[in-house]
Order: sequence, then structure tokens, then C-alpha cells
Amino acid sequence: MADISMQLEIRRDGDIAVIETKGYIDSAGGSSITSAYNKLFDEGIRRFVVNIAQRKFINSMGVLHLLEIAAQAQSSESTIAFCCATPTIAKSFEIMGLMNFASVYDTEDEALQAYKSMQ
Amino acid sequence: MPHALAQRDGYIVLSADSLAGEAMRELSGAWKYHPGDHADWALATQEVEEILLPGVPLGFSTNFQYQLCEFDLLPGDTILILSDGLPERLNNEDEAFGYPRTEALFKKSGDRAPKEICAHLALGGEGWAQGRLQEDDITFVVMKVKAQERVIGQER
Repeated sequence: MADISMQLEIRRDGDIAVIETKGYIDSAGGSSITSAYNKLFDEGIRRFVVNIAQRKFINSMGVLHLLEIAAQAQSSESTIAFCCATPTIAKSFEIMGLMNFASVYDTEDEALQAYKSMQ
Repeated sequence: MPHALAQRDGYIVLSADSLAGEAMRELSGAWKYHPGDHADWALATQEVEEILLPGVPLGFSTNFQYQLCEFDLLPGDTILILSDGLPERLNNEDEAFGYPRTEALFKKSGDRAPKEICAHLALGGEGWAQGRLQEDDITFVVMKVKAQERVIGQER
């Protein structure tokens, strides 16, 4: 059985917060990401990158959490991008409509550069 | 929600993460079956066509406009609707089974009876997992468009 615990590492790159996930993104894992997003948002951060490179698995409840924060970001003048998904997870993102609410990049550098080029 | 693979005489895959009743009704309404197309029916391509229709999982709190897709169905077509459980099934090296392997398995078994197609797909996932326990639901729905029975001078 996979390790289902969720760990988050939060880094800053200027005014961008990078949330790196290291766990199974299910309902509990998605909830952890949502809490981190809300906490950072309350601290004034408005640009986010969620890096899921460390995870090979995500389920629909996890994606639902990501969709909720992406929609929340859209309506609150903040932006969120996702990066480093495996091809299977990237396709699941596409099927589940995440790309309608957020950008998805192949690498963290690409996501950060996209933000920086918007400045 | 649904995305689809289709094959003219023919396999169609709808990959549905959370296929709600309403969406299912919309989808069934979108499939148009033309029983008169016997000539097309004879042209078995056995190709798989994917129709991707992004849709959010059930419970999403923001309004989302689901897309409606219309395509013709012909006798011999096979439709597969599946959850993401098989494509995302992991083996002991943490590798996902993936969508291309799912499609290949379907292509190989698409001419069989629905129950056999489901069994073939499930078995493929089991083999891939190498004994690793299943971590998500794995759901398949297979439908086939039957050929019309034809009797000389009479058509049913």
C-alpha cells in the first residue's frame, strides 16, 4: 500500500509561494493544500505554484480540492498554477476541467517564468 | 467528467471521473444511432477514437457548463465508459498504468462481449499492479451497438 500521508513544503520565490506536495492527493491531502493556500492568502500572497512532482497519484476528491482553490483564486484576484504532473495526472487534470480554472506547466521553472513575465 | 475514445465499428471510450445521472442522460441523448448504415457497418476499422469532454467532479461548488458531444453510432460500435481508476493504477515502482495502455487493452478486446471486455481491462490492471493493492475505485461500463437481424424480405 502506498504511503498516503501528505507532506507539504512551502517555499517562496519573491512574491510567489510554491507549495510542493509529497503525498497522496486525496480528500485529506487536498484539504492540506487548501489550508496552506488559505493561510498564505491570509498572509497576503496572491501568486501560487503547486508542484506535484513528488506524487504519482491523485484521486478525484483531491482534484476537487485543487479545483476549489483554483476557482477561489480566480474570484479573489489571485492566481494559481500547477506544475510537474505526470502524463497520466496531467490528463486527469484535463478530463476533470482543472485547466479551465488554472494553468498547468511541465516544470516549476516554466510556471515561475510565466508569472515573472506577467510583471 | 467525460472524455471519450471512439472507434468506427468501433470502440468508443468515455472516461468519466464522476458520471452523474444527468450527465449520463445527456450523453445517451447525444449518441445518435443510425440503423440504416449497413454499408458503413461492413467497414470495420477497429480504431479507437477518443473524445475528451472536460468536466468537473461531483460536488464542485462553482458553476460549470458541461459540454455536449454528438456523434453517430453504427452497428458494431463499442462504447467504454471508465473511471480514472485503471489509468491511475500504480505498480510497485509507482508507475501509473496510464491512458495509452488502457486504450491498447480496449483495442485488443473491443470485439468481445461487454463482460469479457471489462474482465480483460481489470486483468490488465491487476497484472500491472504486481500485487499492489488497488487505491481507487475502478469502474467500467461497456455498451455495444448490436447489428440488426435481417431476414430476406423482412427487416426487424
